[in-house]
Amino acid sequence: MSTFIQISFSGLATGAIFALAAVGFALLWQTAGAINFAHGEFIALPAVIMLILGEMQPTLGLPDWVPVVGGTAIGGPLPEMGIIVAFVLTIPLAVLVLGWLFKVSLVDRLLTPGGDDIPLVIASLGLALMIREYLRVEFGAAPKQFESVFGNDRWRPGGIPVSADDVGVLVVCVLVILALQLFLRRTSTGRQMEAAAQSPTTARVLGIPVGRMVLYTFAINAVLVTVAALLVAPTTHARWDAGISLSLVAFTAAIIGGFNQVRGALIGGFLVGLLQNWSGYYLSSAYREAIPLLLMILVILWRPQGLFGIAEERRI
Amino acid sequence: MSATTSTGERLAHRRDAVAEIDRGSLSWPLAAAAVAAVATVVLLPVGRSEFAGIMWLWAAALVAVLGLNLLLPVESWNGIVVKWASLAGCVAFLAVFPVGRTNSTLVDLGLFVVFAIVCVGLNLTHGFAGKISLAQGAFLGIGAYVSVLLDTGREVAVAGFEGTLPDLPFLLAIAVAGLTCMVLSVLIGFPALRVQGPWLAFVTLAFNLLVYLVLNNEVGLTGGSRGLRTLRVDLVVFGVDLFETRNYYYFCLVFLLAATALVWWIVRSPWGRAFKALRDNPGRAASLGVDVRTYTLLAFSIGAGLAGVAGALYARLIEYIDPRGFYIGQSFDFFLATVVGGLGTMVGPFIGVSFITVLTDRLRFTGDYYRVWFGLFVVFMMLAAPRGVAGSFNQLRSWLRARREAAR
Repeated sequence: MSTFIQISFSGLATGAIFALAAVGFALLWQTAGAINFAHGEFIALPAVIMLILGEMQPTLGLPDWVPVVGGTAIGGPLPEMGIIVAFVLTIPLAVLVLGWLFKVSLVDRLLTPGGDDIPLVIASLGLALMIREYLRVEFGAAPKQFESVFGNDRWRPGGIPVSADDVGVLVVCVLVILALQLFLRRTSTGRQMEAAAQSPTTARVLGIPVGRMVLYTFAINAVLVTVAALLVAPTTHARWDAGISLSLVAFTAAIIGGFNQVRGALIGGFLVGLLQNWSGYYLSSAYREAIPLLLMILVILWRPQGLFGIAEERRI
Repeated sequence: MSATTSTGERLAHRRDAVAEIDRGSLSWPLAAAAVAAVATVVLLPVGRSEFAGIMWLWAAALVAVLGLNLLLPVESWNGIVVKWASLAGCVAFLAVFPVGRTNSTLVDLGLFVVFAIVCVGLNLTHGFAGKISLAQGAFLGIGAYVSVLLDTGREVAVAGFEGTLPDLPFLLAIAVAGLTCMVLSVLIGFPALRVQGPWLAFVTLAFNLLVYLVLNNEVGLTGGSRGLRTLRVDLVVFGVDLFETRNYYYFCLVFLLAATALVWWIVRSPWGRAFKALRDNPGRAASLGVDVRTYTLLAFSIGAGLAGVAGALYARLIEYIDPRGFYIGQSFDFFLATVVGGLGTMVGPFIGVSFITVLTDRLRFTGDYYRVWFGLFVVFMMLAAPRGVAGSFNQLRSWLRARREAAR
């Protein structure tokens, strides 16, 4: 029993990260109709950026005669920025590049209303290849250690081993998702975003700036992928090819749960995390990724709106 | 338009509309041609190796042929002569490639031919029948493993089954590999082809990963991540020693020509017309009595079967296979190659495949930006010339023709 709880708990923690990734993916799909095959790379890239920023030693560029305070020469290099500072710096960068630039340069040009969505699929596959290979060339093929912000402590409450990282990840994910839900449900901007997602035409008639609402979605997605990067990198390490499997997990979670609902993607994420851990332990560790994939295929074939999604009528 | 409008006004209106379309679409074909030219010159790293040089020459020759076809109207005798002459020229090019090359270059050329078979098949599935598939890498792998397991009399132990596999002749093993892929593709295609576009992409992607997991984990059958040695010294077909790499290249080339002829024939036959009707307007095709499911299933399974045959050829070419060669990334490569070359054109796959063959592992160097450029190129191509290199030339040609007719 305690093994089961332990496995389920770490599955929930992994699932929470998957949920973050899946919610971002589902938001873009729902609001902008954009299917982003580079979603995993959007998580792998900030992880690497944070690692590089975190190891930087900024200097203030002050001359040598500035006095020494508290044993540190103010003019000399400051201590390493650390992951938290790097994370804070990466967020605006991600919003700018993975949010705004991605929307303006690719999505807006490739998605025509009522048009085919395959061109964007192809372009995002190209983008994914580009990011992946750039990371490999610039950053090296070897995976880099990425320290967890929650430290490496392990506790045993009631005899069940729990790692600080899992607890931290779960808490942060739940907070982020709660904040997102509150924003979407309770604020005026959030309600407008929902309206723009559900029926752009009606929203426009009602005077909602649909374009700006879609842009907000991209910004939110950029924040979500950066948070996911911070949380997932300690387990996957900062790897150039981490993106492929992260993309797959995000698709799987979003599709299983139902992509037209943030709630669906959320549950999908947790479900994939739990299924992977359970099947990895009780069935076969070699096939831990297989069960969610099989479930995804079944869902697409028999319940394409997802287990928790709402069926949409087909419009011609 | 109201009923009171005179015929003359209506015609004038229509002429204006056509002119509008022409003006609007002018920038695209030009941009496309520019992109094609730039791609050929920049993307293939000439001088990196003997093989890269040959690939550059090959892609440049194809683009030149496309350009030549632009100048001559297809219907004229000159056009027809040029068309057949360029076809003969391309075949001659492929036949002369291997003369006086080193063994390593010959293997790379063989890879080019094998990958071309996959892309020709994918072009039928996606380019003509409009069904996206991100599982060609998996079919390549299934074909490779099936053929290798069946023609060497291997001892295997998998899932409670232990025994010796048969020792089939090579040609039969290739056929079985192709058929296995066709059967499997029908099994997954029968339910999966109900879903469209991105959904089908996700299903095929998941299938590819599942195949990869099986190849990686059923160690008793596939050797797991250590892979299988596929080297066979006694590979003789019809008295030809295929252990000799040059002979093997020509052997693969025969399959490529046969595959191309098959797809060409299918596209020109009533089948092919049904495919095109399906791709362009599935609802209308169905209402006209085209059996949607059977036809798409056929296109899907022929694409998979060709990938399987290619896999069987691939295994004996590189002498060693492991699951990583059949991961999702390989499927992405095939897919992007077909798109870049031009979906739904006969020439397209042959242009696209020269890009991805250069970026296979054998020619991959650390610190090489080539794949980054390729990714960037795909993105730009979707923005500027979504029909790919050959498709853009077709677009340009129909624009020129429309202009010639307007001038007459």
